[in-house]
Amino acid sequence: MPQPLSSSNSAEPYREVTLAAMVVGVLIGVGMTATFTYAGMTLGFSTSGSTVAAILGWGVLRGLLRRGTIVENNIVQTIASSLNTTAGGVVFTVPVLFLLPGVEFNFWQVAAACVAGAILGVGFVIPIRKQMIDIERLLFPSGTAVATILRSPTEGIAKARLMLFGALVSTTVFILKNLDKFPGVDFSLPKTLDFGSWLHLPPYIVLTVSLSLFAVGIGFIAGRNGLFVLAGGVVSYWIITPLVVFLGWGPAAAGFDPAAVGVAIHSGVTRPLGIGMLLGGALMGIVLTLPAIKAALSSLKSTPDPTAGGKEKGEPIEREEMPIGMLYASVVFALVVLFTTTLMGLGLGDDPVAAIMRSLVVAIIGSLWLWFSGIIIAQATGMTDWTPLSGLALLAVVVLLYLTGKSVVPAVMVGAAVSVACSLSADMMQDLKTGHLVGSRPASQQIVQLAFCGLGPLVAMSVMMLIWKTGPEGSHGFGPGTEIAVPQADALRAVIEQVRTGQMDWVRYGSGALVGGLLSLSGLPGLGVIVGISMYLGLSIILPYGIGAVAREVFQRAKGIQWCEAKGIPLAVGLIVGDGLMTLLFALLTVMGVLN
Amino acid sequence: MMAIGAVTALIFAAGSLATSFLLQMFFGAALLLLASGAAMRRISAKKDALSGAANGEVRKAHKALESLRDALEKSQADCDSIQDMWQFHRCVDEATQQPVRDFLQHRQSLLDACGFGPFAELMIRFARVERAINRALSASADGVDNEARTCLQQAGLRMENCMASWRNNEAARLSAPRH
Repeated sequence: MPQPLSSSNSAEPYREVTLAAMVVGVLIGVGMTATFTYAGMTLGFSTSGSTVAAILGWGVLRGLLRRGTIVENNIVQTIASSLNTTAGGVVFTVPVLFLLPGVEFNFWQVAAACVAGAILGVGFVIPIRKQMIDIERLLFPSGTAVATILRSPTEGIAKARLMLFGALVSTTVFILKNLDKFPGVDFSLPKTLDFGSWLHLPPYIVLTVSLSLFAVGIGFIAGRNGLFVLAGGVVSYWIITPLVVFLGWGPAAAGFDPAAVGVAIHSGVTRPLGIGMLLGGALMGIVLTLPAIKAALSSLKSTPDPTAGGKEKGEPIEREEMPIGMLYASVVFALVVLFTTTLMGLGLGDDPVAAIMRSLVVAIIGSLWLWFSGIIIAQATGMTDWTPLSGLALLAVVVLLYLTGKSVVPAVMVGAAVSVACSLSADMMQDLKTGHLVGSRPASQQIVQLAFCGLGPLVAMSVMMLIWKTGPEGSHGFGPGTEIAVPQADALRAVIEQVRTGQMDWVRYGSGALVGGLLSLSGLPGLGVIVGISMYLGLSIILPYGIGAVAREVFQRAKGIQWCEAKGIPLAVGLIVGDGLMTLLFALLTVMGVLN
Repeated sequence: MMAIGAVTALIFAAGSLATSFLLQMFFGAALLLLASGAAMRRISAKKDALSGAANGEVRKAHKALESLRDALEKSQADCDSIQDMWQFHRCVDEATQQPVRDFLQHRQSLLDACGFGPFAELMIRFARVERAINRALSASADGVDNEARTCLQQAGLRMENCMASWRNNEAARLSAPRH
């Protein structure tokens, strides 16, 4: 039976925000950021790494220093994940400034914009904590998984064994899928299973399942919301796509290539519809919960100073949220930075007043979009664990391109700020969910996240510059045709070209928004957002996620909620942890040149 | 009706909506179907909440809150004499987790029965209770005696505020005019 630490410390305060936690958090965060920046640029996706940070934090605080507490380790993973999560936001946008011809890249300008985005992303999402965690009780599956890890030493040996078993299974599968990365090894398990070709289905009817136990674990924790994601995927890939082909619409007009039309329909039809649904669903969600958002802002302003001895019916009130003044100050600071970097990107030109006004408009609209996107991201993450980050960043860049008169640098810079902000919004909410489950003070987490979030973009961009300079003659170290293809940034580049040539499909985004908005009006919270995400993701990842969600429903009905919480969740967490740890390890080994 | 409306709207939106009047008409009709389905769902949920069947759910939620209050009182009394933090942890965990789970299972009926404002206030107060319990559990797992006991006491006090919020909501709900 796991034993608690010494219980003789009757006078010692409960260790939470300590120097050790901050130092360990920063060190783990910097290491993970560097690794995941490289992984994101190569693979096209990133991960928050909270689960990995929680385990590494345990290893250092409890294992090496012999004194960490659960809430202290929560601070470690809060800091580490806030650094690491910005890698995704940077990687999806900033590389495009290297890829577009004739664009001048200024490291400090872009870095300042990303840091401003980081601060705004944390700041804007703080007022909706009560709405999403206390009132709606969104699951935040990764946050829930991290809490399970933090509490694992106390949950009993049976749960720990299940978690370990799950981790071993996903570790084994991950290694087998990536055996061919080891020098001299040609064999590996397939990463996806293509049932479509086995069943001789037309290539545009996708039936590919990714062997992702990570997705299965997340789906299991997400539960019922995962079923809506599955339903949306089915509609998108098995109803809309075949119908579009049958009716000869859009990309399936005369003379289409059956092997390529599925991808063309996804990128040109269902993905914009899905992004539109996300936006419409989220907008409707904001309208419906405006009373709660107003109440949350009021309670932030009116939280009494504990030193003044405020009481609520017999108990002294502790400050739950960070002081509103701190929030206002950081937001104003970030807005000023965003305005300044935009102005530097646009230049004063012949009409300085117009340039200043335009920069002000871009900074304000960029910040509003950032706020709106942060809420969408937080809700989407809370319900499903997926963050439609690249879609929202893409729309941000498109909107800003029009606002800046198609000036690419400031548009991408503010787009990068939005992207970083969105990734931090999702991460902040996940961490706050973890904090709720382990009893952390929200204010502690909010303050440390705000204090350290700016480091992440600086590390990610430094790594990016380093990789760029490894190319021939000190440039072009990444991009199409190289080993580090930066696929997401390349997709953004394609969209920027579409805007420049006037080919954006606003009707599709708008019609998706109408459908998403009406779905969210139904009383099923966030339905438009969930279904929108499913149309945006690839089916190969939706299917294992859906398998996890179906398994949860089946086991819950057959064995009950308690069984699922006692056995199913630890196993699912193990699957997530094993996959996450291996992703980090393989990325590190690839950077070091050990793996192909 | 909602599902049919949404799927057909998306199918028509996949076509050349910008240039085809026919597709626009069908899209509009599908949206109307979706909107009707969404409205009917909302009305039906509200009716269920106000009907006798939902009162059962509301009663279950209330019973769960009362069980949690009693569990906290009992835990405080029992844990006063417990010195071993592991035992303390188990005592609080076993007493409180089931009532918390039960309340969360039945809480949705309160939204429809009481309206958003009172529901939000109750949930915020409940969340504060829960956080104090979770902190007591973490502190006891880490062997920090004074923090664990303080948080357990805090949970009890917050529970009283939560019950007060419940009583206010019930009073408002029962005195509201019925249709």
